[in-house]
Amino acid sequence: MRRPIVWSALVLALAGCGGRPSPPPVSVTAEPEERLPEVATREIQVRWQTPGADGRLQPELEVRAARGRVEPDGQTGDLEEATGTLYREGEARATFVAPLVTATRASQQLVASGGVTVRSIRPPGVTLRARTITWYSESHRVIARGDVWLEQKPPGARRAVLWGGPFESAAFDTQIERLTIP
Amino acid sequence: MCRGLGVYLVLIGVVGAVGWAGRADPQAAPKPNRAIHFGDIVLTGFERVEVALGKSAKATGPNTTVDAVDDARKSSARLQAALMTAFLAPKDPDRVERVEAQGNVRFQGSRPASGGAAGSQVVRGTGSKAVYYRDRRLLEMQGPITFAADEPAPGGTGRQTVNGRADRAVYDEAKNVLSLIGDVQATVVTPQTTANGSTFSGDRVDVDMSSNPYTVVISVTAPERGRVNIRLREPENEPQEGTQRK
Repeated sequence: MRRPIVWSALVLALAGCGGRPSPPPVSVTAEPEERLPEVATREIQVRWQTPGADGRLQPELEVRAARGRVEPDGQTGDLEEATGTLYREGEARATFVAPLVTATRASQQLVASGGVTVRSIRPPGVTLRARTITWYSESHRVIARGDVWLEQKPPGARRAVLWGGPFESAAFDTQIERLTIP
Repeated sequence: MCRGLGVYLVLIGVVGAVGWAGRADPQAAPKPNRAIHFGDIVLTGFERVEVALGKSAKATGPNTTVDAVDDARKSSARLQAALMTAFLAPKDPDRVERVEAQGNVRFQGSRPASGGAAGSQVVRGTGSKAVYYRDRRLLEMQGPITFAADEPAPGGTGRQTVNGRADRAVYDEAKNVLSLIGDVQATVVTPQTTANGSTFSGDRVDVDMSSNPYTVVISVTAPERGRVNIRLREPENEPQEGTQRK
């Protein structure tokens, strides 16, 4: 049975969040928040959440982008210069960076393209690069396509314990513990 | 080395040579493509590979190849099979503990010739199953198996070879001993033998390839199961045949 998904797309015009420049030195400190630059960064954030075993909402996907477009119904977003985090069971498992990202709630898929880099969080040390990746949230699967390169170098390791490529495609799970080629 | 039953026949001073027609030629080796470096081995030639990160890699495809190179010892080992699974050492995850191979298994090991001779010693084998203990440098191959080994003969003239078949084989790369077990049929060719070489059979044959010339120990469980046929080359090139049956 398909679990209900709570999906929200937040388009935030944040004053001073993220990569904002350092505020200029000021001598007035009474109300510092009012002295921040009016618009330092325009950031788009897409967040998916899903109920966990205890019924509480837990994160499933977070994407931040410098530019983009989110449809009015909040179901689909096209993001540019994006960074994101993939979750499983509420825990952050991998991050990614991609020039283009399309998140589609209807199919519960995320497609990142234009040269994508995925890095594992837990276990750490796995890096995967590909032209395109597609993440299927329901099955916790990621398919990488086009010039796929991978490397595993655990923290503290003298050298990479696994590396290879290029491959036409590779499939792995959200937490990047199992990998299949082709 | 010779356990239990039977008659033990020790031949000392048999093999040790090179000249094997199909010996390894590193220059001719295909450039690795679609390679996966897993621990201290390299996987190539596969059609599909499944990796459990930090644990194992299972590769399939008729020409799946595992290459292991030991730079310090100037030796290399190549294992090919239809299905191979490599397991990382639990306490040393940048090294492979063992490789299990199944289906049309082919093995080739190369190392510097024994006894300080110039050239290389090459060991080849085929079988249906094998386990290569990378950390122990030990290969166990199930059969029926075929085997061949060759390296330069002592004195640098010609090569000496041993080849044949058996039910199974154990190649201890660390000790440089090849053990052939079960219905062993083998032929040894040296510069001192005729071109057809000397033949011997037994239940178990251990070839110590760390010495040059090799030391060969034949074990049998019953007298009728052992046979040695030594054919030495005469100065006028007429073979003198002597058959010894035990």
